Amino acid sequence: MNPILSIAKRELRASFTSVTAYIVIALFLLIAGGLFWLEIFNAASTELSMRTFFTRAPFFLAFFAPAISMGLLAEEQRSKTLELLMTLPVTDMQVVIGKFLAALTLLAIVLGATLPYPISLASIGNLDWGPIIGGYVGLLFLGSAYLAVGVLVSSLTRDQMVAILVSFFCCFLLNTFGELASHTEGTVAEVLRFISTSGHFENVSRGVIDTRDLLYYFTIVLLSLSGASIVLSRRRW
Amino acid sequence: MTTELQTQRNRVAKTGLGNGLFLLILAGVAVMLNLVSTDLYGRLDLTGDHRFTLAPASKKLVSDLKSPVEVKVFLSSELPPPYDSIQRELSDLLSEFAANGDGNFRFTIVDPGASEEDKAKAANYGIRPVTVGEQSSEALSVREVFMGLAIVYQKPSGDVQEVIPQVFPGMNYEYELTRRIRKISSEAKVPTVGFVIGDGSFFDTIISEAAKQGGAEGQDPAAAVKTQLAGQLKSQLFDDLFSVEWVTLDQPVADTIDGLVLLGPTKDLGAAGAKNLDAFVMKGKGVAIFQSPYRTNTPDIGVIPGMPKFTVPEENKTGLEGIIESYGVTLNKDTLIDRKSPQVSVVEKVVAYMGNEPLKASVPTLDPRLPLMTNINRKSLLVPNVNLLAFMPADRATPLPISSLSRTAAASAAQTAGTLNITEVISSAETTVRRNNAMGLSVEDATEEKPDEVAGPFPVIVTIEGKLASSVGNGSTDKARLVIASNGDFISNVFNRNDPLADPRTLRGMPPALGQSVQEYRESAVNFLKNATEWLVSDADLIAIRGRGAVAYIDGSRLDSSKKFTMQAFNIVGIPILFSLAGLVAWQLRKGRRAALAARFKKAA
Repeated sequence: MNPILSIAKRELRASFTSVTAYIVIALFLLIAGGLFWLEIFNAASTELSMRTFFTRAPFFLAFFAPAISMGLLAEEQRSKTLELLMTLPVTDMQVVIGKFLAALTLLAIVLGATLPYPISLASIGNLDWGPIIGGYVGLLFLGSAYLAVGVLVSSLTRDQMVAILVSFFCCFLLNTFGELASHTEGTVAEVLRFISTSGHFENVSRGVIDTRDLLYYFTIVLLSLSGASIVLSRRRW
Repeated sequence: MTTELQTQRNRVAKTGLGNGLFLLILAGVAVMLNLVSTDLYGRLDLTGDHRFTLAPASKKLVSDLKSPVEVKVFLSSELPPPYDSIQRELSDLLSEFAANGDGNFRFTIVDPGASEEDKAKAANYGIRPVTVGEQSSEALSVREVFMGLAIVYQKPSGDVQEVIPQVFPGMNYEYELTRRIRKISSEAKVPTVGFVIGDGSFFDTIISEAAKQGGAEGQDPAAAVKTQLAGQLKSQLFDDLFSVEWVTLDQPVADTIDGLVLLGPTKDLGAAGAKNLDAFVMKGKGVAIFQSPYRTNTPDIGVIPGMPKFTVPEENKTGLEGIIESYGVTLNKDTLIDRKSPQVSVVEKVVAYMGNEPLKASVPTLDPRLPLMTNINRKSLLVPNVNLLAFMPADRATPLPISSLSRTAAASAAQTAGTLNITEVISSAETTVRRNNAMGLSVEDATEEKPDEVAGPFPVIVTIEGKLASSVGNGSTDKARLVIASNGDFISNVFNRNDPLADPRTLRGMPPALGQSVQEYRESAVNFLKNATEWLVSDADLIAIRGRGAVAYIDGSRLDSSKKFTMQAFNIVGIPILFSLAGLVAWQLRKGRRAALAARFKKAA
């Protein structure tokens, strides 16, 4: 089997044997679902869409993605199993990608668990599935960017708490660059707006898959995973 | 040893430098690619109505342009949310227009804040700065920004321009641009919509009341109010897309009229009226008839001092019901009742007594006689931006029954044969029931179930298209185009300044959600009238663009409290519980495997 897939499979299996993963996932679903479903029937005429869910989801993801990625490399370093992994015939990049894919699959499963939301909505009106599909695709891309950042941070420390806090800070910063841009002017504002994950996510969640947004997320993932791979390779020197 | 260590250090330094350089180059390439992608990109529009993709009508419009069109967007940079999405959305849309314009479509986006010259240019087009709020970590501040655009059609005879002084997030930019470009670039005359008067409609009431108040010396007050009202309809309702004229049916309708609207007629049309209307339909021109089978009447019982006048419901015999029937639709004399999702009406109730004198007030009441029209045929071009509709009564003291429409047997046969197409555009909710001949039904009567009630939904607005024979034996047409609604009040209420539901004081007395619904009924009614009128004068392309991006709402009639609770409980608690149970099972399995392994080792030992 491809080493990347082997690593991803092992990592995913490990995630699902830990009770912590289930608790974190259940909490995420409880909070995200609660906020969405308690609000949607408040008004006499509520828009039939998942707009409120997709508006809040990036913020939740900024917490949740670091929780998934915190232990990916930090725990391996703490428990000294990373050295063991390095003795196997796999490259650093394969290790990083394998772990990233496992985290992404876990995230996809969690997001998949929210699919009953649009299905329930479709039973009470004519739901436009385009923005829903766009929203989920957007969340996956956004999540992959946050996870990649999390993997990079996890490669830099042995402490999971440090990993989650720094990752969260980075993800939160990426999410709020758009807000910061409105307080600055000129090129700085333009750059901040471009770097911000929120603007790109909003576009995809409208139901428009745009190559510019995909390239942006791909760039973050590529740079972060390459960075993590370089950090790992330093251990071999 | 020292040399080996040095070599090792050099190798580490070189590798580190190489990796750093690799990451730097990678970042540089990624940044370059992202920069290039701002001009070179592809998009996949997943929305059901492809609202973010240029419509075929817009593409054709710009590709057929005979002279250049230039769109000058005056948009401040660094706009705060939610305005920050405007630049990209407009830029993407204008790029699509330009790509289809064969060089005849250009656009520029400038920030007038950057130069006084651009500010002056914006001002020349009538684009002024607008104030927007901006929330910082310290406080809420306001700033002046430009968010307007000018469309200039450079005809050989001179420039013609249209201006949108302010755009806003959620605006249907494509519709606004397309209709304006079409207006300035088209040589064709603007279609004319005729509103029928002299038939006892709501407009007759407005005109006669205004005439009673008199006008300037030497001026016919009725003529003045007609001119003023037509101007308002043209500019405020139809955004100058159509001309508006008043039409009386006692004489043949002029050829300049492209479509007719009869809004709540209550007077007998007479033989001449019926003949003229039918002749208009037989020309293949569009007619919209909003008529209830009932009307209110204030009987003349002589003058008794101190006795207030009162109104009673009666059948509305205008002669139109016969014409409509001959075209294939029956205006049923029935009452629709919805006890499960009644809407709010304002009923005159005695709220106190001043001595023996009862003190009445308009009280918002849940009224089963006001069914919600939730079955909206989304394939119809008349309803893309119609979300919630309820037929609010015009006369609060004597609310008229809301009635249904049905196909005649002949029309059903013609529909089967494929010569006539009667489409149900809007129907009442599934929870509606129908009661025959229940003209003076009170709220209390409507609340009680009766054995003769028939379960809904029932059509209340239909369209008729195709081959129709004249109702007065005057030939036929293959291009009939009619909108038939069993009610006119829901439209005329929009123009009624005395409508209690439009009164902020009444709205304040309602729960916020109900007040919001009332606003939505009015909005939907206006949208429906606009759509129906556009459809009558055959501008289906434009209406299709306008309807894109319409927001769908949760259908209240399909959602009772138990379903709501089940949905919330499952999605909020059910899914996390399922996950937790899966975790518990996984944990037990793991525990079992460990125990089995331990047992095996123990046995082996």
